[in-house]
This record gives sequence, C-alpha cells and structure tokens, in this order.
Amino acid sequence: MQRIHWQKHVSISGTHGRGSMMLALLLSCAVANAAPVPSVVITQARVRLLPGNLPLAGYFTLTNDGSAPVTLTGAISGSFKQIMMHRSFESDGMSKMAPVAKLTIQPRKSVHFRPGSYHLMLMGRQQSLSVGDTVPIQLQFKNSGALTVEFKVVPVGAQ
Amino acid sequence: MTHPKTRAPRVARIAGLVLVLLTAVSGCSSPQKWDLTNITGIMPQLKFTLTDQDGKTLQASDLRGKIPVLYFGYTNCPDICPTTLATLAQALRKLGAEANAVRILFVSVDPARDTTAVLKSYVQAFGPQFIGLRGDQKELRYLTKRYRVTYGLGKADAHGNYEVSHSSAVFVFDRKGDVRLLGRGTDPAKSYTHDLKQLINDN
Repeated sequence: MQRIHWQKHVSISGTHGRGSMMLALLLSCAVANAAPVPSVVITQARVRLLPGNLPLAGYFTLTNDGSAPVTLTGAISGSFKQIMMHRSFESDGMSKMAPVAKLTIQPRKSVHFRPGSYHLMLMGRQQSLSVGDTVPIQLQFKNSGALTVEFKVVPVGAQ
Repeated sequence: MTHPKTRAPRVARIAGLVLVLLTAVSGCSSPQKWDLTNITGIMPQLKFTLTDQDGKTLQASDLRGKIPVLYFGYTNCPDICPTTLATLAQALRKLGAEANAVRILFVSVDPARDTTAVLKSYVQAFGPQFIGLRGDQKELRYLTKRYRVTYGLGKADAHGNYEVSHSSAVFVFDRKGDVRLLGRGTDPAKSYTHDLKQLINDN
C-alpha cells in the first residue's frame, strides 16, 4: 500500500533570537492556513497504456481517512494537455460516459476509480509513455489542497 | 418351438438399440449450458463488407470456419472499449492454442477518427486474433441495423474531442457465421472462455 504523506518544509535561517522564533511561528501558521491538507490515502494508482496518442484512463482507490468529508474536483498533470473526471455506465444496452464535476468522499469511505466506472480521462500526451514508467498527476480537492500522486503505467491487459 | 440360441442375440440387439436411443434422447434433454445469453436463431447470420486495419476489404464469408466475435466501439474511448477488449484478450489467453479459431472483430462507430493506421496499432495492442474494421456510413449502418445496435456521436468540445455512446453488446457467432450468443463488456473473461471453448469443440 502506497501511503502518501503531505509534507511541509519550513526552513528558518538566522540566529535563534526571539525575532526568529516569532517569525517561525508566524510562518508555520501561514503555511497551515494557506495549504490545508487532504487526509486521503491513494492506492493502486495506474494509467492503462494504449498506442499512439489515444486518450488513456487513470485509475486509483481513494480512501478518506480524515474526520471530515473531502471533495475531489479534478486533476492536472504536466504530462497531459487535459484531464477530465468521468464515469462510465451502461444504460439500455448502451455504454456511455458522463463528466463528473466533483466527488465527495465521506470520512472512512473509499471511492474506486476502476474500469467500467469512475476514471480520469487523460488526453494529449506531452511525452511518450511506456509500460513501467510512472507519471505524476495532481489530484485537486475543494478547500483542502492538492496531492501529487505517481501513477504507474500498466499494459492495457491489466485491469 | 423356441430357439434359445437365436433369442439371446436378438435380446442383445434390442438392448443395443434401446441403448442407442437412450443416448440420443439424453443428448437432446441435456443441452449445452452457456454462460452468455443464447440468442441462436434470433438474429441473422453474420454479413458485412468492411475495410480491415491493413486497408483490405473483409467480408463475413472470409471468416467461415472461424468463430467471429463482434463488438462495436471507438479507439478514443478510454475506459469501456479497452476494458471489453482486454477481457476478450484474457479469455483468449486461457484458450491457449485453440484461440486461433477465434476472430475478435472491433468495428469502429467513429470512422472519422479511426483510420486504418489508428485501428492497426490499436488492435495489435490486444493480440493477433483482433481485427479492426471500419466502413463508410452505408456499410456501417448496414451492420448496426442488422444487429439492432445504435451509436451516437456527442458534440465536440473546444479541443475537438467528442464522446461516443455505443452498444455494449458482444455478439458471438459459430463457424458457419450463425449467431449464437450475446455477451456484455462487463461479463467476466471466464464466461467467454467457457462458451468459446464449447463453440470451438462443437465442430
């Protein structure tokens, strides 16, 4: 299980005087307010490879292990021109896809992005990808920051 | 006057006949069990003229002797189409050498984007038994109407991308091209393996 910890790096230089202590406190408060942290665990993050520049699907399991609901609003990556959250579904014998603007996950609940259901649609590859590569994708959350996850590139046969 | 010497063989002959009849009857009363939906006789025989991934014309009659599996989709489909084709590829891997009897026909409902070159690299990703097919509106409509499947192209976004809704049906035919089974993309690989194995060994 790949656990992702949100890390804050605050470095203070200078002498250990009262002023720098104050500065450190101020800075740590500022960081805490500016970048709230999503309390989520992401596992099985993977991108299923297709040839050429065809759109790919990104899958993962997201577990909210915090005490408040989290809302996933989308994803961005330098490796793709555009990423959309989608859900596939079957209706009257037809396979369809609908955009998903946001997805709220209650505390202690998980959502599965998996074949035939929720997925990230990754369009416009900015680099060539091969099986075994990892590609960073940033998941974005409403009011609780963002999280960059390394997605593993897997063969199309891998579900 | 009775002839015990001739009676015994006659009894044996009758018993033998009864055994043959019983075998025949039991053969009728325990039909093959299918994991997918049996649609034998409900839809017409496989018939089409389309262009394959090498730019060559392919007709259904070219596939006589093979077990054709028909699925409609489009290559820009990130989730459902690759999932369905990967399931079928998995089913074929479990068939081993017998998989050579099967041909998976991936018919594009989005021929504008699915050129032969795109189809070629796409089907190669799934295996040697996969054939990518495209046609003009008339050829495509002929096949989709024949199997009562529909598809729809969505509106293009600012990037020129559009979504396509398409049937989730997977049609399985026998070596003569007669329709036999209906599956879904969501059916497990083992169901396809089981049913394809039966169809392969039917002949």
